[in-house]
Amino acid sequence: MRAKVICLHGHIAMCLFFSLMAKAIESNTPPEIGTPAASSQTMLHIGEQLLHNAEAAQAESVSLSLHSNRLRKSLNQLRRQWHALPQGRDQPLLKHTMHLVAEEIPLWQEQVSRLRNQALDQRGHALTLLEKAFIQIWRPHIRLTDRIRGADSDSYITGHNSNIRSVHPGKMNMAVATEARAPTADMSLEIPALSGQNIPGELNLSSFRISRKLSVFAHIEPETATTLVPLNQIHQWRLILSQLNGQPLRGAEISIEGHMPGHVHGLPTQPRVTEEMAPGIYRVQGVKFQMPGWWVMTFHIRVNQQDDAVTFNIRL
Amino acid sequence: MTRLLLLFSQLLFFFLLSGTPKLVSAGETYRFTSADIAFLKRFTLAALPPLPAAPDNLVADNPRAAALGQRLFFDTRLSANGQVACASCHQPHKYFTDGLPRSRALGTTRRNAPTILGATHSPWLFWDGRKDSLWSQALGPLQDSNEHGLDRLGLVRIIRQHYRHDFDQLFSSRADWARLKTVLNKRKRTPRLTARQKAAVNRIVSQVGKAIMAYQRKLKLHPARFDRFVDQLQRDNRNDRILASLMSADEVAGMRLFMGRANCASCHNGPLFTNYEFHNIGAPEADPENVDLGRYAGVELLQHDAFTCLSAQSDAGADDCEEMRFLKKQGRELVGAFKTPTLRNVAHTGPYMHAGQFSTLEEVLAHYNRPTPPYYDRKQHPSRPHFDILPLGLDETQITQLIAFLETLSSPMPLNDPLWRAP
Repeated sequence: MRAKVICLHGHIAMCLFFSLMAKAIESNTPPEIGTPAASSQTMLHIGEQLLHNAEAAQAESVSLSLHSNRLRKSLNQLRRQWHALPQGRDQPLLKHTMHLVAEEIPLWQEQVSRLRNQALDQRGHALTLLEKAFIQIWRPHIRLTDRIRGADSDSYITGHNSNIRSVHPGKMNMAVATEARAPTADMSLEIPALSGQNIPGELNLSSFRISRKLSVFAHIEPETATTLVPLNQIHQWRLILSQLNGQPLRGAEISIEGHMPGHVHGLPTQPRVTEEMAPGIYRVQGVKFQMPGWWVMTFHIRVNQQDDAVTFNIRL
Repeated sequence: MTRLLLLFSQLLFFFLLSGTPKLVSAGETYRFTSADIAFLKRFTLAALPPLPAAPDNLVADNPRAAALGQRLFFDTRLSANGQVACASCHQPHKYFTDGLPRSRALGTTRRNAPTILGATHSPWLFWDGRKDSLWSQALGPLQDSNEHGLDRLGLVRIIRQHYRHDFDQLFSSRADWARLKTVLNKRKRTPRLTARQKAAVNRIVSQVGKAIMAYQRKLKLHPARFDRFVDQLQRDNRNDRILASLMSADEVAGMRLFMGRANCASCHNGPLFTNYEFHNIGAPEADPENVDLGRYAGVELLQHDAFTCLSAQSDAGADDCEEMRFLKKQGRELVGAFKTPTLRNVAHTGPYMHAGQFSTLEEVLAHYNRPTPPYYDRKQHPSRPHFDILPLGLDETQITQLIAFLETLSSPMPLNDPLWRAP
């Protein structure tokens, strides 16, 4: 019923998406890796389609936005001309033209924002589908379907620089460490808080992410007994890489970059991929975090002379 | 009267609630909540974890190795001039430091001698972390021309002369002595060695370090006033009289600053008041002509060191050496960064910083209060050093209180402990 309603409202891709998704999610039998079951394959197929549609909508919104900017410029030009004109017959005509252009601009802008939202929506739906399919395909190898979490660390200040951030020496004395402390209701001690990290808005903390160039779907999880990340201890991760058609991404050369944006420093170790345990499943060893907070881990992936990268946000 | 008091206490309550600046009145000085106490407990010696495993040193916890290590530690014969022992720069009655800005033995060293108390808990040794174990660390000064001034063969000769029996018993070294017999008897200082002879030399040299490490692992810190204060808080946090006898109001105020406002606990945390990490705090450059690259240089040295966890002389399998296998080799934050030192006994282990740049705690605190950015010389530094601290803006009273608190971290000297003197 719902699918029908949406179909009536008209977007073909969305209509396809909802009617097929209902079918796809019904079947849950774990398939062999490398031969995705029909349901996952359908989801992958639609997901990929939606992703491309989202890309197209995004591109269109950009070009419309450029067009609207050009109109705004023309309008400004007309305004200047109107001011320069001597009082007379031409003035009302020009004014009328200006009105027409001015009325048109918000329409274009509405279109831009509509396309942009549509792109975001489609992308969101695509990623949900891809994630579902991915989990179905790789289920035997996935223990963590949520975001990565830190083990209940016995310390909110282990590590360094909780309150203080590195500064450029040229900016010395612009800031002095402040009184602001952790909100610790039941403490009289004012201990350093994990403030000053400038975490931007809402972070995507999912352990499933699509690569920058939309060619690889990736998942990471800590290979610890609890899948929780220990603090100040070297441990290992499992990285699963898949192509968008569900096939494992084999033989990738992977390099790892991790850092803490709020503190301008990296990891205390240099983790690396030590083996491909099974097709598309890579072992990452030497991971260590020396303090809680917002971390960014980027995996640079190279296959067949093609470079891509996938980035995960982690909050410990 | 009672109503007046009630009104007054209510007023006081509201004043404290709204209070910035927050005042700690006399009655509040010793008031700690259970969350406070749980937090403080993590800084006490009672929270010190067991000694870290040492898979690279099979005799790490062998008492006979420790006894041998203690003799080696205090033996001045282990030096080119027969006058320098480990204990020359790590003097027990100075909490195993020497009180000098830069140590003096055969020559003058580049850096300050850190205490060895608690060192066994650190994954990296030396100010720049250029060693990954205490046994390997011990071999550094023995071979340094400014310190003991021995070469490996010279050290092996001394060991054979004075400790042969001990090595035979502890390490079954007979085969190695036999292999080295002809070489060691030669007058020539640096004869050519076969690969097997080299291996035998390296084995004995590493065993010297392993025995010294076994001794160092037995050195214990004794509870300081701070530890006893937190212990008392856990037992009874209402008895101000006992609490005040352990830490004065100023010391307690200093402790509150240390944990919070002054940010000290950001890096100086845990039972040993260190996070074992490397930071650049912009301490004055000791020698601008030859800048100290700190951890950046330490990482470089580690990669070429013949006595790491990954080396042939290590007793560990490669899988046991994760810190070395995943060593971080690059990053601006390595440049000019030095290991956070322990603050245990800090009031008695000056001068401070890696080259003793500050002689008193007042100078150290003055630096943190108004730090200078790190020295940067385009020609010598690989990149502009990362800078880890911000000015604190503390007033004089607060600085005095902080220093007062640091004094409470001094452990009593265990005068009767045979480990704290020459055997």
